[in-house]
Amino acid sequence: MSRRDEILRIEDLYVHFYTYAGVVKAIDGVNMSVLRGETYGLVGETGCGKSVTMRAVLRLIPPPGRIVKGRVIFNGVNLLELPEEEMRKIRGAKIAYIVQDPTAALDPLYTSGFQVAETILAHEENVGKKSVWERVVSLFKSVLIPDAERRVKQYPHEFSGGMRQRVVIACAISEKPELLIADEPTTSVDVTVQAQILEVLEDLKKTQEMTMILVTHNLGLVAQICDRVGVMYAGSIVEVSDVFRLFEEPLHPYTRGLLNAIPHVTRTQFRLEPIPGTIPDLINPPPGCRFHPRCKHATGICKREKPKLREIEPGRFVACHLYRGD
Amino acid sequence: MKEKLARGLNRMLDLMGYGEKWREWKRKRRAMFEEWELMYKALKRSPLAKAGAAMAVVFFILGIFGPQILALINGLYSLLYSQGIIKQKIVLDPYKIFAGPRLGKPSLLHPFGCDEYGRDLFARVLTGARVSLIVSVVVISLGIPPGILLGLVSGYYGGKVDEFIMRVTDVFLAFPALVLAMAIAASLGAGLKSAIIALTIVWWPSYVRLVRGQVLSARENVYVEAARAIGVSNLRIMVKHILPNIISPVIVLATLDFGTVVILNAALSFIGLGAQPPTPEWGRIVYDGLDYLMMAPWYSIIPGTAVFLTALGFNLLGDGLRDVLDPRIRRSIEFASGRE
Amino acid sequence: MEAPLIQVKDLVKYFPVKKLFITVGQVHAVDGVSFEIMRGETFGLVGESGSGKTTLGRLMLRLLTPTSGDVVYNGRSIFELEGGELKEFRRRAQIVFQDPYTSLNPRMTIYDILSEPINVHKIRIPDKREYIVKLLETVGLGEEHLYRYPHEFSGGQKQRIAIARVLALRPEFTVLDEPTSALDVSVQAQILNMLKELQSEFKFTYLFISHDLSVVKFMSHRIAVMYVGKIIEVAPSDDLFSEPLHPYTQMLLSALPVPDPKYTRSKQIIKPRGQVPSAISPPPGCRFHPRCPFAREKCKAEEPELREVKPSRLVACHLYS
Ligand SMILES: Nc1ncnc2c1ncn2[C@@H]1O[C@H](COP(=O)(O)OP(=O)(O)O)[C@@H](O)[C@H]1O
Ligand SMILES: Nc1ncnc2c1ncn2[C@@H]1O[C@H](COP(=O)(O)OP(=O)(O)O)[C@@H](O)[C@H]1O
Ligand SMILES: [Mg+2]
Ligand SMILES: [Mg+2]
Repeated sequence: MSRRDEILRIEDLYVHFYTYAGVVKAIDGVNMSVLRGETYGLVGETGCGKSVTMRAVLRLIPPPGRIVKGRVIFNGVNLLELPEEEMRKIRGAKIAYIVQDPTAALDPLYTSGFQVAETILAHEENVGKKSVWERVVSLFKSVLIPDAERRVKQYPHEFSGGMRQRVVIACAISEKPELLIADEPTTSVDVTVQAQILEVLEDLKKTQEMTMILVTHNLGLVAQICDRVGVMYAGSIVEVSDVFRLFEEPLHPYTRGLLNAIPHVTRTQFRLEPIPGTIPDLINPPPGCRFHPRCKHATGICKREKPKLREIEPGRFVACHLYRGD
Repeated sequence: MKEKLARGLNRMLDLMGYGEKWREWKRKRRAMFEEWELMYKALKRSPLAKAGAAMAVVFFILGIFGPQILALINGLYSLLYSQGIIKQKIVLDPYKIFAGPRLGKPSLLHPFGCDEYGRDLFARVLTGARVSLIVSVVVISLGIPPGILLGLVSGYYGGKVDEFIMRVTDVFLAFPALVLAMAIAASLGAGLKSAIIALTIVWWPSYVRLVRGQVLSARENVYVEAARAIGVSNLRIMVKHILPNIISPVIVLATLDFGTVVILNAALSFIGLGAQPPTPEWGRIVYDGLDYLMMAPWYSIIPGTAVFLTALGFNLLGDGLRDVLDPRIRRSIEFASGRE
Repeated sequence: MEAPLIQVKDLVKYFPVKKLFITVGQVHAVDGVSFEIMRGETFGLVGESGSGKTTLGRLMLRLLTPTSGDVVYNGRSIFELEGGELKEFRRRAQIVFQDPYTSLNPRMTIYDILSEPINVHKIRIPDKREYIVKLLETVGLGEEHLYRYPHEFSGGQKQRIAIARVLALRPEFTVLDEPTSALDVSVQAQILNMLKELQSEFKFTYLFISHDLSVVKFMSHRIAVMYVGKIIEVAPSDDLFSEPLHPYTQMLLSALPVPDPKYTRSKQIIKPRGQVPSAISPPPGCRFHPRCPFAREKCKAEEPELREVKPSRLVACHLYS
């Protein structure tokens, strides 16, 4: 993989959940590389392991989950080996994480401005009360909340879903993080609100020189704002490409299947092409390539051997036996 | 071996013409059996719930088979006596006076000692289990049906019906259970029967309240609206769609209440409003023993412990069931105890 | 021309807003809506959450009683039906709910769930079990699923079961209330295809509700766009997308990310402004005017009516008067 100024690199990550029903092999050898300044899209269907991968980066895997193996290199440092104390300084300050549900992320008992101020105070000492408050107001302005001076004094329940998500974003960017991970930031809001939130995120990215990982299951979003895309299926990344070539000529059969399965407003379709079958049980995943039971190109080797993510064209990676060069 | 037996059984049923029916029945019930197995497994994982279940089972066995157990022990004693191994001829009998020494200490022959009339306390405590069992079974099984019925109607229909039912139950719930039971028992005249009536009257409103609350949230479920859209009648919705989904908390409450009823019944007897002498009732025995607390502490302590252990057992079991019967909590138990 | 199967006439539904038992206002969930659905047609209904789509769907099946207005089904007002006639209506008009995870009773096996409509309507069939197995096969499941409980199924399978429950009664009209929004795209494709196939096989009429424009376009013949309790535009599916008339429709379409990077980055964007107003006190005049880039004085004062401005194109906007 290209080493061109990587900000984050995940190597061979495995995360398992130890449940009564069995060991859930949720993340199975994820390799991923995010370049400084880009917007990286991580797409995949529900349960494929997008959130778990991102939580592993921040070492926030809830029990009974555990990182079994792997390295998460952020600015040259392996985060998985850092002491907890150091890690806490990175969370929120260097890497910020926005979760899907803005309601759960805010405490209903405090004003929204106070909650943003609190994140600032948690990471910085010796800041004056007044300067913090001024910063909160300017943060509210930077996430395009109208009437910011008044809004900072309001409680979360006085905000609409889209406005709450903006407050959550304001919290996340309060320390000017280098990397912003947005985990389905617009899944619970409507398209017009989504457009407004995307505008905020793109605006911030430009003005603050952030790198962003956008986690989503919405291919339209990816097409709209991402530079490069990683497609995830059942715990591994199956394809990485720049966004234009991915949509023009998807390589992995799963990516192709996904693109054929969605309705397009720009086309007239009479039938969609669903991907047959269902996502596999991650306690007893299929051997070899985890997609092979649903793949119409599967051959003997797909059942035996898990394909590695390999670069087959400059900047295009795919984990599929169909593309073995030799 | 097991397989052979099963095959044989299948063959037999086939010959009798019931084979297909039986297999169909088993298929129908498979998921239910699996669910039960899961609950059983979850229950087994909690040591406290297991202990509670054991205590509850012991209570039921003693309550149901008390006299038979006594007869068995008496048979053993007379065998030992006829063999000349013990010198005294002994019959454990809850009512026989001067069966042993007055206020006799616990001994091999009288494991719990004797009371001031020389009656064997082991026999009395054992027989007392039956009285407690009868009271709690009767009170709870009389309290639940009206509780469920009124709670369902109140929660499902709402409005004026609900208002009326809830105000009536509020009147009952306004008084502490024991005080109300005392008042009712006193006005009915002391005795086991009036204790049971008093406790039953006190008991049902708590089920109404519980069921109503559950119905209020259950009727908002989409599957209730789905049933209405198909044209299912209100009665059928209540019985088929709501009741099965709210029954778990009722079972839990009933289990917890077993212990509470045993305590309250003992309390009524203790103050003289419950079972009358010579009926062996735990609360009454505790009361009788108080006069001799210094000379014969076991007299009160042992039946008191019986009350305590019974209540404790049902409480532990009820808490365990609460977790086992709630599929969400059941799942989280599974996760939490996963091996590393 | 054929008579419509359903006519919705000036339907209104207000929900009271209570604070400490005192009514302090009303949610104008559906506020004067009229349209017709033809037999065999899929009528799409799009709008953002809270715009009143579900309420409208429930009103049309008499799962709610309207504040005013009427729904005429096959020439009869559904709110006047009683007894046997109401039961017959319940058989003919069905609904599939948004969330398959909660629309099946967790304590009933699939067999019980599917036999309920048959029992309730005393549908005479020679072999109930066989009939149910056939239903399951129609939706892509099989006999082996008969005695399982809902929790043993994935979301997509649950939605298939919910659809099978509807099919059991062979209804004429089905409200599909966001039937795939809780599902993943690969499963969504299976369900949408199936619904289309069922329609051509059984001549169903659908009201297809969704907030997802691309799904509505794929499914519907005609589409109505809802905004804060009102229908602001009705158009044949392709026309709506090629030439949206109402400024709100234009805004919705331009905000929709399309899975085609070249197209979506080059398309003209009308930036969404402001927020959806409260349905408790909607703005006077046109409800969209505070957000509308073309708003004029008239829009603030006078509420536009839904009128036909071109053949088969209805829009409620003063720009076209
Ligand atoms: N607390 C948990 N217990 C067991 N398994 C879990 C838990 N959290 C996540 N998983 C497993 O990890 C997989 C990936 O989950 P997640 O990363 O949340 O998916 P998504 O791609 O939708 O964000 C899921 O399929 C699930 O089986
Ligand atoms: N039972 C109800 N009681 C009070 N308000 C309701 C009820 N159902 C819906 N509403 C309100 O009506 C409006 C429209 O809701 P709904 O029809 O569910 O919208 P949609 O389906 O388009 O998201 C919302 O503001 C909602 O809060
Ligand atoms: Mg996720
Ligand atoms: Mg809805």
